[in-house]
Amino acid sequence: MNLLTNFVLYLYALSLLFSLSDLLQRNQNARRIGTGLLSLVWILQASFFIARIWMDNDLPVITRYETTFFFSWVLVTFALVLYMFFRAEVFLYSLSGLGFGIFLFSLSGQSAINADLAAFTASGGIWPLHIALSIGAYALFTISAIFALAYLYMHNRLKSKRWSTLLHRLPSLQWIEQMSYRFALIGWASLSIALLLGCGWIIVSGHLAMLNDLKVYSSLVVFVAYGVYLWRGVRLSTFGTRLALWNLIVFALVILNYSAMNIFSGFHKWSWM
Amino acid sequence: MHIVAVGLNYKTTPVELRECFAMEEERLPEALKMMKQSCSILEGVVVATCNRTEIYAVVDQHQVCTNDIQSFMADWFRVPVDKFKEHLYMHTDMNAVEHLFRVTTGLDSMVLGETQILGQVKDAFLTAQQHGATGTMFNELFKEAVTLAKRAQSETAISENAVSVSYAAVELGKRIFGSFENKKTLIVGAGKMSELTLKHMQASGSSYIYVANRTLERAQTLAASVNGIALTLEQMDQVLSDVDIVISSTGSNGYVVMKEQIQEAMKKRRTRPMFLIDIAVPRDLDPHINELDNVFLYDIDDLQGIVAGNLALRQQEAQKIERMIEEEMTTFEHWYQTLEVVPIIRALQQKATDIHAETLESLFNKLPDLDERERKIIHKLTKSIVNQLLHDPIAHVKDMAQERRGKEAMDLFTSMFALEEPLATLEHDKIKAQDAAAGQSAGSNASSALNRLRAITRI
Repeated sequence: MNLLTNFVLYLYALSLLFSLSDLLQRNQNARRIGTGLLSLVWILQASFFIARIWMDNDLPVITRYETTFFFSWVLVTFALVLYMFFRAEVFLYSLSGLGFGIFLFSLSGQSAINADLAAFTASGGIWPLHIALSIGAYALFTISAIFALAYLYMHNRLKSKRWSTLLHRLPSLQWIEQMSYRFALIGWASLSIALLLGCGWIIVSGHLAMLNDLKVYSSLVVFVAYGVYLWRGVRLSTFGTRLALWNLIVFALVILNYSAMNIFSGFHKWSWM
Repeated sequence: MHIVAVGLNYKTTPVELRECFAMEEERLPEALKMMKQSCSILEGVVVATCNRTEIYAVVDQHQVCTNDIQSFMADWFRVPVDKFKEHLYMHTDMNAVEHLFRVTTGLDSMVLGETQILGQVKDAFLTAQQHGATGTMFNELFKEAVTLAKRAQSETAISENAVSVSYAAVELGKRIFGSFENKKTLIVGAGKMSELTLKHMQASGSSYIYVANRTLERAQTLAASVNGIALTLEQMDQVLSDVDIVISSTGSNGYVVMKEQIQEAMKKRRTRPMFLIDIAVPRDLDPHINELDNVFLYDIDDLQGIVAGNLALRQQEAQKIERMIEEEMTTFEHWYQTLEVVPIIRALQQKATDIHAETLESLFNKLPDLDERERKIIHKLTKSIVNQLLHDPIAHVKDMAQERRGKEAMDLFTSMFALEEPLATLEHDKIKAQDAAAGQSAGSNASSALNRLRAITRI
């Protein structure tokens, strides 16, 4: 780990400590400091990407270290946006906490490009964009799932008539439901473009055999599952707790697609190294 | 000097007597003036709300002054002392400080943790300050009290959760819908409770209101007062799918709205949730309604249960504020002790300056040939010797003042440096200055301190 990564890690941990302090015992000053530190983390992470794009003339989303780092950055970005526009502090804390976990995980991955990856990078093409859009879609699905979880918690609390401090700090039930749906919709759009780019590149480059891969199939399953989820939502045939449960089930497919399928995939193994 | 807090509140005094001690805001300056004239009060603030009338004062002798304050209350409010004496409470010195802190933070309020009292204490202090009734002590004490109360509000959840049934219902609605803007409300029943609920809903932003009642005439009267639409109970089904909030308070013995009716309405509403409040006893709304998805039904017991839970939460938060009060009292006590040492330090510095000036005069008389530059050098060096000699005693006396036996230590210090005479001179000058200032209304110092406090308390 280089000095910058260490610095970001400590800042991030400190930011979470302040956030936790506010979550456990309401403290405006702790929230301000925590959010300020998180903003600094975001700036440093963004600087890392810009510097890498500048140096490599390409998106730094090749190794596991880079993809998970990017995942974490997207989560922090949306956490800050949600806080800035909607003062949704509970989501700020949960997303930044999750982002920190993913960031820590990214540090255990190698940052050097191995032989398999070298072959890909040498072949050029639009696949860095395919990866960036896929990671973006996964991050958006994650945010949508967190909203779905919050919806279920809030619905359960309101139905069982048990008031809590956390309930008071959450936004309204209707807003959470809308946000969960909207994030899934944007994520689905992002995944659609990513799949189009990926498949398109395989077809154009003539490596048609690569389409016969477990990862390709599972990604298409995720794409269809979210499509059905969104369709049920827009048709209003499923809503409320059922739609939130649907969201979580489909998200379980995302996790499976991102973890297990990469191991069994013929050409996505590199992203799990 | 002593701080005293004398007064009566909702805990000690019944409302019949409390209402005799209501203070009109416009007469407060006159009361402050009278209080300062009639009693040996150095500083005074009157906090008068519907739940308490309290006089905070800085006095020389608290026993004598308490009697004076009682007489003032009897004269001003025209109530014989015997009638209210047994209800009166008195706190002195740090107990009075603690009481003020508890009052300002809402720990002494009828509704634990309510925030209105902060504004009332702040206003009472600002009025007293504007009319020259406060000085160094209360400027500092009330500034600390207001800052503490604001900190308590921002750093704890004391005022967060609803502790009244009506407010709990509004809060629940907000948790479901976010706001009541453009939300449609159906009030079932046209009695007093319905009227009250209607006002609450309108104040919360609900703009479309239906009133359903067994007799259409009563529904029309109530609906007309809020530009609402009147319905009979039979017509209610037609609007059920359209309304977001249903509040029922009829005197009916059976259920007025059944699960099947809401189930039918929800088919048309699809994703939009429905919030139902049943404040009638016996209940109007079938309890099985709560089994429906996206429907939230609360009866009076549920709301009271939430209120009880919230009160318990407030009690927990109150304990955190108690700790804050302890910290703040220590800070104030230190400041207070340092305040007592200020005249001693000033007297010591004055004495040293006088000795220095006299010695130099004598020296220059004996050495008349010294030129201006030499005189300046001698003046500077001798002054430096004096300052260096005084530096350590001054630093130590400040520390000594904060020790447990600070008063004795300061007496010893005064005696060692023979400061009794300079202290008496300073006190005499101070009284003269106060008399001169009393002739004027609010002084420039008061207005600058007022601006300082306003800057601190600005939200």
